[in-house]
Amino acid sequence: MRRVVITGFGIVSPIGTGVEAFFDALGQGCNGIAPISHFDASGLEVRYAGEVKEALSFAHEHEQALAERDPKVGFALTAAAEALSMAGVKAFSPDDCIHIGTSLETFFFKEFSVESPSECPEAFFRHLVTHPWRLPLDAALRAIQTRYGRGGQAVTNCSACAVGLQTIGQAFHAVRGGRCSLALAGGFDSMINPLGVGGFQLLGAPALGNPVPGKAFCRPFDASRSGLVLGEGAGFVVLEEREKALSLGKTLYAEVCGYGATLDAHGLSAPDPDGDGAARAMLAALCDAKLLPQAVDHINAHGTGTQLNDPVEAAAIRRVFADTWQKVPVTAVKSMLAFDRRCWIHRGHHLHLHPTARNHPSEYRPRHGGGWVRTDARQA
Amino acid sequence: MLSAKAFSQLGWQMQNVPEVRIIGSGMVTCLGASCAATLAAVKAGSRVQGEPFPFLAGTPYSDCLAAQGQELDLCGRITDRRMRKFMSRQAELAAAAAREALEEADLPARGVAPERIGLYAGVGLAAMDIAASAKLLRASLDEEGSFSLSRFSRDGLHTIHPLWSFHTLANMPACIVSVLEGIKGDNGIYTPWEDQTAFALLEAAHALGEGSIDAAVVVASDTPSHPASMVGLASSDFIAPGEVVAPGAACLVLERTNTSTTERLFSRLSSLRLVTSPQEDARPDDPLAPVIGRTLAAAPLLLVILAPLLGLPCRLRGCGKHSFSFEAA
Repeated sequence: MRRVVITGFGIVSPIGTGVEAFFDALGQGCNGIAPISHFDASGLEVRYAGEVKEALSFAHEHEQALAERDPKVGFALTAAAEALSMAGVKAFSPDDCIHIGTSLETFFFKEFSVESPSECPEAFFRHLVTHPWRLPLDAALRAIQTRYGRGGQAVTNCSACAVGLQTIGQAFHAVRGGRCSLALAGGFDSMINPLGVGGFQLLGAPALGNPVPGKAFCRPFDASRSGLVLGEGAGFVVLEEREKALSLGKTLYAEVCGYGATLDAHGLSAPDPDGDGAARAMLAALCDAKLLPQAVDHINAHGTGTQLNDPVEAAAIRRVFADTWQKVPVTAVKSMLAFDRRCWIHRGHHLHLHPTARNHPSEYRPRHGGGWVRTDARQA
Repeated sequence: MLSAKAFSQLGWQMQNVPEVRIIGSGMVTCLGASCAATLAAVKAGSRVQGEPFPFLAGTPYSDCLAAQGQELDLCGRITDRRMRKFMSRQAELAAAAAREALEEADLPARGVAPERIGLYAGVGLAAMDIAASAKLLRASLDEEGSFSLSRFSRDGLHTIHPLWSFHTLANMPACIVSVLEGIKGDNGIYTPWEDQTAFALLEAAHALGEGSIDAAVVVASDTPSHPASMVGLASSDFIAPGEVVAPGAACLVLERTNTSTTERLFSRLSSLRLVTSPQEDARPDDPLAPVIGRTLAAAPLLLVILAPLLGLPCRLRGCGKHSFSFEAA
């Protein structure tokens, strides 16, 4: 069976854009969560988010216009460009595939106006036809194809929270199975707009108001966690067949060994309290990689910081890593970056464990019995 | 049966794919709320009828047409009343088609574990609830009739149901199918055009071939005649002038032939091919369009079910920046 390696990766995040800046900030435990500045959120109960602060620039006018219209398309283009450049890819061939993913369409309401409120919704729809108000979720895919060529398989996955990892997993299987020779995979997202933030506020999942002095705003696995914090950015990898990459003299940053995906079929707004779906996904990935749980040195958790997710995830970890959970470090990058649907990777050649910001494992462990949540950075 | 030879073109190759059979199928079209109802209507001579979108009058897109007729009642298929609150029309269509297909496949009775059933979906542009959106907008306008962020935060947001965003999340139709049907295996959800549904079908075949699942549910749903979708489609290169867009959904249940334990067999797929095409000036070609309208993301699965029964070619072509061709036999 073919082995699959990562030969490039690219990142846009609230703590840094570009691989070097991102890892430096991650190792230092930088905090990317701050008051929302993209729009006036003072009227909302959700007022903090993990925003990308850097202004991204694009060589082509149409890319700049797309990024201004929908920032997540700009994040995707930037992260994809970094990943492809690192892998030495200038253009896609028909044997290459593109698997990317995101979650929610962005709807643009700001320009809307009517002579009389009673004209809604007819006037609304008339207005929208001549004032494009939405970009389909495949806008980023098309922008990447416009710049690098169409390639072969081109997929926009919309599996929400799992989407970043799912694109990598499915691309990994495609490369391993010989269905393509190279894949660009990853996720991108931004929900920091009035409708995105307002919609999440209605669902009751985000942390509200302002941070408590001395405490991080997003506190995954913390006994006093108060909810998720919305974030934005993009993370992409280039996957290639190992022998071919070696023959081309490419640098191998990591190897993808296994992938598993499940549904818990429990409900729409809460996970299975036993963590069954998450546990089966981890077991499926281990099985796919032909590895035992004892071989795992680090767990990068979903760690949303919500009341519902964290104990369920901890239960799933304990179930899969029954003999080793007390020794395996668990980190939750959302404590610094906030919540979106992209993917994060570690430097495969030199695993670096980032801290989980201002966490309180002593409060967490007795209650939920999960692994050791790192509060400091270290080399593994 | 799926054959490796059929997938030897341009990037969408399939290798080591097992024989696959269709053991369940379901659909909702503008002509009927099931496979049987749609077929009976077609055989009786019914064809989709189009009518103009009132809000497109006087715009460059005034010749875009929506399928005529009342929305089909799907209550018989979706009995979970609590769940219906979470469901957009697209999700309702998907759930109804999935129920019909799974009823026919009868997987639980044959001992197929929910963990070994995969779910692969293709969904169209999200279509929000019009009444709720209009209410939100009215409450968010200032004295001049312009959208006001402060009014939105103070008043508009509170007019809508807390679960409103569930209607716009593209993954919801598949999530709802998984919860209603208890499907727990591998999965993938792709959006928003026909080629993504065709990819879902191929991904299901791969998962069956690689042995990560024992049965695959492939579901597709789209509501292009919904005003919120149509305003996105009108300015795209997807709809030809005068074409009728219509809601639709379809579902297939697949098994590997060599491990299937049922004699039930709706149909076989002898080949599947999905090819990206550099011909951006090609016209869209959906052989079902004159019969049930353009159903976009739902079309590939509807075509797999209906083409052999109606004597139509099982070939679909997209155009413009998204050009591709899909074939099944």
